[in-house]
Amino acid sequence: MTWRNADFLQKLQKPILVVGAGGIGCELIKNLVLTGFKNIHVIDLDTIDVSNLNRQFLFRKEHVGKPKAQVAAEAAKALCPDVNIKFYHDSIMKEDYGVEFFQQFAIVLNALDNKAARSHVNRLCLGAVVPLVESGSSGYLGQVAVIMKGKTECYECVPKPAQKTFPGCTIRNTPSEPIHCIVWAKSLFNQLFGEVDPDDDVSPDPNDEENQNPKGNTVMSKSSSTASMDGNNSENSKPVSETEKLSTRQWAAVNNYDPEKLFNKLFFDDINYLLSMSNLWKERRKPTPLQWSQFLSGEGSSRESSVNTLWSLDKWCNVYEKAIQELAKRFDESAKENRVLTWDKDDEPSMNFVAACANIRSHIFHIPEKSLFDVKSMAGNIVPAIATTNACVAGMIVVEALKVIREEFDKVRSIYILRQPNPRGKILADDEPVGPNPHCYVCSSHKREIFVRLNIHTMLVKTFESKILKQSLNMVAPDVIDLFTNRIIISSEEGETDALMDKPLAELGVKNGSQFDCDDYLQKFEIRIMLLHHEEFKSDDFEITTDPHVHTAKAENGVHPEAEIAESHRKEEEHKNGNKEGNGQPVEDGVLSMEIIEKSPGLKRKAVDTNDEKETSPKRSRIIE
Amino acid sequence: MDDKTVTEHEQANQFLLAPDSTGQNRALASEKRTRDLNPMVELKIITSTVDEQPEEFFKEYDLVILIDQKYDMINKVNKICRKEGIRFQSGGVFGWNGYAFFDFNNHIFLLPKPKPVTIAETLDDDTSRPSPKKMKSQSSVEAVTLEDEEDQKIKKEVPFSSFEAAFNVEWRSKKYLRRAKRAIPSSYFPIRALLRLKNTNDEISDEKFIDAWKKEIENANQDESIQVIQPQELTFFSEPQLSPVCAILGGIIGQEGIKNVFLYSALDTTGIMCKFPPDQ
Repeated sequence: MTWRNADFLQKLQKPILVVGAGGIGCELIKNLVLTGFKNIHVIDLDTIDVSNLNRQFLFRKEHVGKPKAQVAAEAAKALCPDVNIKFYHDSIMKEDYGVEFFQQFAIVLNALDNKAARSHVNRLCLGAVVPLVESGSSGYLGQVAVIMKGKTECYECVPKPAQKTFPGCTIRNTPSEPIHCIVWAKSLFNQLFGEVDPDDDVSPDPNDEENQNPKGNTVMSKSSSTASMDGNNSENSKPVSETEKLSTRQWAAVNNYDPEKLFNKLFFDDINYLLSMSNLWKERRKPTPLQWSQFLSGEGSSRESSVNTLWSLDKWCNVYEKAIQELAKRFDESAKENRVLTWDKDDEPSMNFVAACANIRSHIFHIPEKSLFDVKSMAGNIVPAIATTNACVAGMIVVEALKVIREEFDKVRSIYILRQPNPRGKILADDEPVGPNPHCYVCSSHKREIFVRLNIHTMLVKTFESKILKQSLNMVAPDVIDLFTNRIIISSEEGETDALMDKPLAELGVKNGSQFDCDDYLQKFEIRIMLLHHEEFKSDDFEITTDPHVHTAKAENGVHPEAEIAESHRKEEEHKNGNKEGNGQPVEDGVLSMEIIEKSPGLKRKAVDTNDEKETSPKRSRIIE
Repeated sequence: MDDKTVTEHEQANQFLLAPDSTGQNRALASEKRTRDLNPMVELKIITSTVDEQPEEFFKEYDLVILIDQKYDMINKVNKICRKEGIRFQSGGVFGWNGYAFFDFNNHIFLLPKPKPVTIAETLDDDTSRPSPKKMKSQSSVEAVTLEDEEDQKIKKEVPFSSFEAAFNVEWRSKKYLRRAKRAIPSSYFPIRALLRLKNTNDEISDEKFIDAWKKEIENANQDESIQVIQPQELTFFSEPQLSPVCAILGGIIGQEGIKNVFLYSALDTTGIMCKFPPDQ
């Protein structure tokens, strides 16, 4: 007697799609083949990198550079020669993979690592009414959830924690954690050598609202005039006003990227300038400016230091000097071809530059320093991927997939891998799936309206498209029509609306209260956006709610670098404490708590204060990246 | 180490086996692909049984893991490892279910230091508590020391019970009687029944299995009818092993940690850490 009977094997003939052939994907494909699935399609856009080899065990050294989907499919075929496996070395977000493509599968299994692709697959599976198993892992944490249209909540029923952003003034003026200095150092790299984003300025921000006195004037202590008396470069280093000041790059170019001059500007003059903003330091420990002359350049190198240990400041200065010289040289060369450098954690001078600058700045602000290895994982946003976690996650995906193809829907569970057993001893904590959120702007059938508060005079059409439609609402190729003027604002047809992109919304006749019909044909996703004008918003500030009376969404100021995982930790806590929330409950109120692009912290703070008690946290944790 | 030969079924089910290795020794047939996974790892193939090894043999190792071995064998090797201070794990998969056992007795673990709870904190009521924001700004000067404290670890020995103690709990004894109901997951009974039955080389019929299962439940003074796993599902404890269950068990065993007994069942999607025997 065996469970592996003819009926079971028959069900394994159904075609399934695996999206992603990385850490979880490799384990998953192996499990599927060994379980006896016979018709498998695999899609992945990546090629194999050396760093994948430690856990993506279907790949070998000789495969580096080859498409993951192809090599994984070949490995699966070798394991089980009679499996039909088809691979696509492609992005699942391309229009070739529409609803019809998804409809051919009995189930879709996600082994993805990013929110945009997860949202996209979620919408297509909803559109095609194909069950989806969603998964994710992060260090020792992992989770698996089944998504079935109308039966369970979808990937977007509960908004995900916002992208990790930090208030500009924390980064520029008052860092308090290592990550603040690392973000600053990465911005500095871009300001000096890379693509300049004016929003990522690294110099002191004189308009920090904490430094305003009650009348709104900027407070400067008397000593500010002496702040940049450092002889040779005082004139340029003194931040006068946003308009008069030379950009960091111009300043560096004028000074030939001289390590000493740059060091003194960044770590002495600018810090002294910050010290002159006396309000900032009333309740904070003051930073200690550093000068290059305090270090004997070239002396502080004990070369063999491990990347895992904390290095001396002397050594960091040495590393800084070498890195900046190398990068300046490269920058000069690329400038000839009209190119700039891009930061890459795996490029030694780039990584060294960021680690050195971050640690020197940490030292100045009395923040614990970090090893090169730690800075690398923080700067690269890397949570270590652990093979054993991926093995468990992939195993659990197949267990859920088996329930779905055997139509045992009542047995379907959402599972979280916890780091510690909960009070009931569970380390793989299972919950019945939560029902769909009736207010979900993606999967609910009746209510597909949201309110977006923005400044119609300053927000450009292209910002509306990139920040709101694409980054926040995860659309790929949106079409937008203004219902009042019947004007096409954004078209997915190439070139059709290019001319409008740089115009503010108001210039196209958009008013407070205008309604946009937004549509992504590929995703079969439609939503109506009600625009609410907010005069005080800057050009790329916005808020998204489902209820115009609620003024703000959950505002996470200075989100922890592991915000995405924080959700999972929260879940873990919940399990630890034994609270099992009521299943099937909709989100308490209509707040979508989407991301708010953090550009005007003053406004945000006000909003939070008035809403402290109302602040909601998403009812359920979701897939982590 | 493995003394068994590859069956046709395993050929399709075990991904480290070289192609066309049916009939060959399992350890030898797995050698090449295991080596390919990471050529930097020193790999030694042994084709004899665990049973044939003298006590001395185990002293070479820091960790001994027995997979899908017989009850008596696990017991015997566990005793040797406990005596010699060798870390020990065992595990097995029965169809859609599996178990893992951990014995890191007499080893020192680095544990997060328990945080001192101050009385002020517990007495504070909501009205007198400063807002989190305010507290943050007040304490920001000492932030560095606070963070250090959080990361502090202490060295601690954690007691582990032996395999015999863990899988031979006298559930009927007075001290466990009350706890048994909460402590034992439904998958424990068929797993223990199979561990017992497979200890001999006798054929295991369905009736035999169901009888043994009933007896296990009875021994723990439990009610058969309220078991999540019912007799009609016992077929899911039969061969072959479900590959994803192997992956999950392998993942948990490979991840180590401070655990005692882990039971997994794909039937009700439970993955539970048990403390056998339970704390008093």
